[in-house]
Amino acid sequence: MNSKDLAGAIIHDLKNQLHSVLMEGEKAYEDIPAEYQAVLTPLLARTRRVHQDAMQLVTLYRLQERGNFPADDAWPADTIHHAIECFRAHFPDVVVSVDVAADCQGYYNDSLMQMAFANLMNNSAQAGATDIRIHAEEEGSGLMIRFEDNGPGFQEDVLNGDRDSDKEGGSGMGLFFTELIVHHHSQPSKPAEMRLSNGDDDQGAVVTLHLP
Amino acid sequence: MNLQGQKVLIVDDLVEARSALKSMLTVLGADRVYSATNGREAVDLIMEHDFDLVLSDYNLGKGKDGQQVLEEARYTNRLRATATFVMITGENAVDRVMGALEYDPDAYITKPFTLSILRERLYRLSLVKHILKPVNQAIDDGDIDGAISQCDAVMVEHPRLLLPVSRLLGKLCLRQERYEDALEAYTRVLESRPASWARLGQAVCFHFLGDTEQAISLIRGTLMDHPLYVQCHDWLAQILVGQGKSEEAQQELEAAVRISPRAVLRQLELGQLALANESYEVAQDAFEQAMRLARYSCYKNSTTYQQFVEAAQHNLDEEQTKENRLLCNKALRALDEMKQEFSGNMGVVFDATVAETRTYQAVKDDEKARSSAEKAEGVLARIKEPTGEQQLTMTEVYIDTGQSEKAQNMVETMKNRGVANDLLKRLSAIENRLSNINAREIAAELNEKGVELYEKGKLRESIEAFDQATRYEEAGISVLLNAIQAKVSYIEKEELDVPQLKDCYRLLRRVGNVGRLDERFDRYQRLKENCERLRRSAGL
Repeated sequence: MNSKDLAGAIIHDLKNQLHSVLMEGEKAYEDIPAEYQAVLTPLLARTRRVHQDAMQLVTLYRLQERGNFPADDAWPADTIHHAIECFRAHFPDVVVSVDVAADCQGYYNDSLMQMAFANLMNNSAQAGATDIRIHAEEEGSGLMIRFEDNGPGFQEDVLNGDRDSDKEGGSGMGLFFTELIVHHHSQPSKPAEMRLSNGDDDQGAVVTLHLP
Repeated sequence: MNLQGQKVLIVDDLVEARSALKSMLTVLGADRVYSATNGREAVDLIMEHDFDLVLSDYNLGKGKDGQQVLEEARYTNRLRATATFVMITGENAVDRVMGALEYDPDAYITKPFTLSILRERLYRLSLVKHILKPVNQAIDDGDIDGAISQCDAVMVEHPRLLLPVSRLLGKLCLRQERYEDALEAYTRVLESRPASWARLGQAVCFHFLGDTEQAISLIRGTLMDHPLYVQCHDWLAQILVGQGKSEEAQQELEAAVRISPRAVLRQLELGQLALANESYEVAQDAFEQAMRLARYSCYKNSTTYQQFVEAAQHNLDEEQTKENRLLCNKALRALDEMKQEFSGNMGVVFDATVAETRTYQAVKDDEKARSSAEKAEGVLARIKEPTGEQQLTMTEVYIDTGQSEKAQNMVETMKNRGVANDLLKRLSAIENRLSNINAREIAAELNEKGVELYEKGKLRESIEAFDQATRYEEAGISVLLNAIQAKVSYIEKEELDVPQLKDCYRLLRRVGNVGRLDERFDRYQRLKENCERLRRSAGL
């Protein structure tokens, strides 16, 4: 085993250990009296966050190692719904509204895109947004998904292509990771794209994904 | 989503996972939920009940995994095509799991999942299954061409189901050898979606339509994108075998087995290929795995045991090493298990006993080989109407364990009763071996007689005996040297008989070169010098 494989195995183990910690934590939360649960809540939220980061690390590793993330028929309404479930565990107060037809269909890897969507929502909430709107629709044989928030919008350097985040509480991987996932769905003659912009009057961040 | 009234099976080795899933299914209305804690239990339940939905974890601890449960369920037709099989896998582990040669689950769900994820996945799945019901119904009725027509009809009415319908359609057309139709289905998918399975499907069609190069290039391309797509290696191996490149094919199967080592059929294919390639260690490993994996499955077969032992025999020798002893014991244990597992079938018990004889022969334990041959003889006697093949096998065992008289009798009995055409070649090979043995035995007897007469000084008679002995091609160097010796002594003591002297030279030529290290070298050299001396004194 070379050091790269070893690193991969350690990250994998780390993710599994964190999953167990999370499970134990959630069980403890259920078992303790209601008045103490509030003490455990931030701890659980942090653990979920670290677990999610570990999941991303594993995915990143596999993406770079050309792991197989097969695309298949997928339904953005479901994927977004599941991403919101994940997101709510960290940011229960942020309002998310979804405008996606139940039969709107795409062709992507559901697990990867769920991760990407949760990331975009986390980014918005960390930037201070309290309201997120998600819209998806079919574009020919492809798919367009748009995330809009009421936060401060992207800074100029981010709009110009700098994806490194130094936001407090962020993992520094958010946009970079999302873009990596989106690009994973590119096809030889049909690239997948992630476009960043700000809303009217430079208010609120807008992220538009185009998947072939 | 309402599962009320549906028969559902949950398969998971972890009690928490089973109960969590059961609670979720109960919320979804399921009221007829069965649980299995391992693969064996799952298969037993599937054999007993008619399930509508099976949710199985891939990793079931020791024994069968989820893929094996699926294979048995579909292979035995116990799980209808209209029923749904969902494979539950660990996070991001789908690629390690996708490894079936033929059987895919209807869907994968990645752990951990929430109730809403499960609800939505099952809901989407039920919609597709509902639309595909006429197709699957036709499959369950065994009407594959009808199912193909139904697929075409569904495709027209539900173009958004292009992927699941085409995938099924491709498989069905391949099954019916309708390669052009299958190619059309896969090509249609690739026009809008770069699905790897469609590329592999296209390659398979090209292969059957005769464009092997195109097939290979497509598969290699797919493997570049998805190095873990194990079925690509399987097909590549199959195509390479067809091209006579069996060693390259073996490498592909070895790669496939490294990715997905738990598929019985793949291990069997690798074993057979490696055996044919004389790659006995690979063959032994593959058959050993196949034997282990198939132990509690529908693929359990006595041939696998036999092939494992056959491969092991090639890796055995007479050295008293630890490895050799262990391997020999392993082979013998496999044969014991084979006899036990198939004790009701005397034909199999006979095969196992013969294989036992050969195993002892491989380690040069003649005594045990002989005793095992006797057991085989006993088993054969208990078979009411032994086949010609079994009788020939027994004959070979007789010869190999030095019982040529019994072999001869068996051949004669068989010939009297008449031998099937397809066995004539094997019979004739046996007869050749027997006649060689007879010739060797006769030559040895004549040689003995010649020596006895020579020692009594009856040189003329001794020459006659040796002449008869050397008429057999099988006469060895010692017999030839004895004949020369008798002739030289006769010429020296009785008369200068030129034809006898010429005979000596003819026999010397037949002896050929005798190496300096050969114990007969001195004698050979002396006789040669004597002949030279006699030739000179005869003025020849």
